[in-house]
Amino acid sequence: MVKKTNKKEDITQYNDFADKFSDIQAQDIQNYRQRMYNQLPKDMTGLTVLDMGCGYGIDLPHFLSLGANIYGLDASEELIAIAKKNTPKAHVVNASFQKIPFSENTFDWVYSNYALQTVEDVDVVFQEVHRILKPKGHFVYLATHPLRQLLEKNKQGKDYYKKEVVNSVLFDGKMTIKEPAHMMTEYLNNFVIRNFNIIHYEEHFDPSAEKIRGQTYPGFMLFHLMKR
Amino acid sequence: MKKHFSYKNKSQVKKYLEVLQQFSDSKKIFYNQTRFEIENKIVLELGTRNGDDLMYYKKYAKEVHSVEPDENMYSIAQKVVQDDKLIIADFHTLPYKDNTFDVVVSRYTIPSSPHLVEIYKEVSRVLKPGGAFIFLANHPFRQYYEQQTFPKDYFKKQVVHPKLFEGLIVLNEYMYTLSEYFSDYFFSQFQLEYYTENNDSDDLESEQMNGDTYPCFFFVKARKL
Repeated sequence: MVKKTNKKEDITQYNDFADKFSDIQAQDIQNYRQRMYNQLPKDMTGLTVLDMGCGYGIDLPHFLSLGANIYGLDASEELIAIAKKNTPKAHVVNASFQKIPFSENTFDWVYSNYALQTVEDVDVVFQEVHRILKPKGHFVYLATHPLRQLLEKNKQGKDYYKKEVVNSVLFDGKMTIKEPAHMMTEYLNNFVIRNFNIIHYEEHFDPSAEKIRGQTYPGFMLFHLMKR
Repeated sequence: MKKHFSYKNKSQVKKYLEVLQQFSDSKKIFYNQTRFEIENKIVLELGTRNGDDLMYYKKYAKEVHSVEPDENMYSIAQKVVQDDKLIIADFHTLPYKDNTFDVVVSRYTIPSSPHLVEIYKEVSRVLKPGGAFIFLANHPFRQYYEQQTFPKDYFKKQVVHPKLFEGLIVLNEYMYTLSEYFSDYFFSQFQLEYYTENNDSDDLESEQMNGDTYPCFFFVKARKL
């Protein structure tokens, strides 16, 4: 049974990003944002792109600068309102990742920055992304690393296989967000493997995340997939 | 070169062989996944160990070759197998011609070598196009847990020592990250067909550090492009 996700309280926890942390983020987030940008073509003129989980629209101007026809989608109404105001040239909509309000074969690229892990059943999102992508369309996403989510399980006897919500402590404890933990098998599931080619994989330490017991472990992973 | 399995006396060797003979979960998944892939095919095994897996492959495959880098393990396996297609060689310098094999298999043996990149190159070279590369290896998350130095560092190149039977048996294994297994080179040569990860039965193949439960191995089935 899959519980209904993207409940109101789950979504509003991200609203803080916009008002409190836009300045703190700048430096740390540049680190992983650049890794995502590296996966994009230098010129996206004529390409239709969806930023899935665009938040308050921090990445939207970059796509405009590359010449893309950019759409943004986020589950938070408040963040979408800010994104609209900041980037009027982007087409932004308030919707869930599990029911993307676009028809099939619409996008050349789907881009998603630190958003996929917020959904409990990521497979539904992969199917949605596959549906809205054109054949040979690209899906590049960055998500919280499953090893980090295991270590963030907040008790003795952590269990990788157990479905639970974990607390991610960000920016030296200034912010805590609750997200469902995932295993690597959820991202490399049969639907993904059969319907996408994997172009690239990487994983890195995230300086904006908590460093539990001073240890160094990957904070995020980045997948670059292509629809077959 | 560091030995994969260090031991002080013969009873440890005996115990290690007992471990290898267990019908573990990793064996179960590996045998199930290779069963139809190897039927009437020419197979190469990386790491003979005690020869158990090799005897299984021989039941179904047309021809099975196997390389074992460790001389002691080679002698032990050769006593059981008695086959000249079992030889002493490193995984990263395979003494076979290009496009020789239909299937290359490896269960728990890749991390005994520090040469993952070269192993991929060799496997890609000796596999026929469309051939299957099926391997199971120590999960990088497990290797992170197995680090003895603090603070732990997932990205630091080092040797970890999985302990079996409460330390009676100690292995020497090279740490790899998932991004090293799933490198651009890997995806340029192989198409991923199946990925899974799990624990092995009864903690016999590994410890569970800090009382945590984490995947003990990951399994990959890939097709040579």
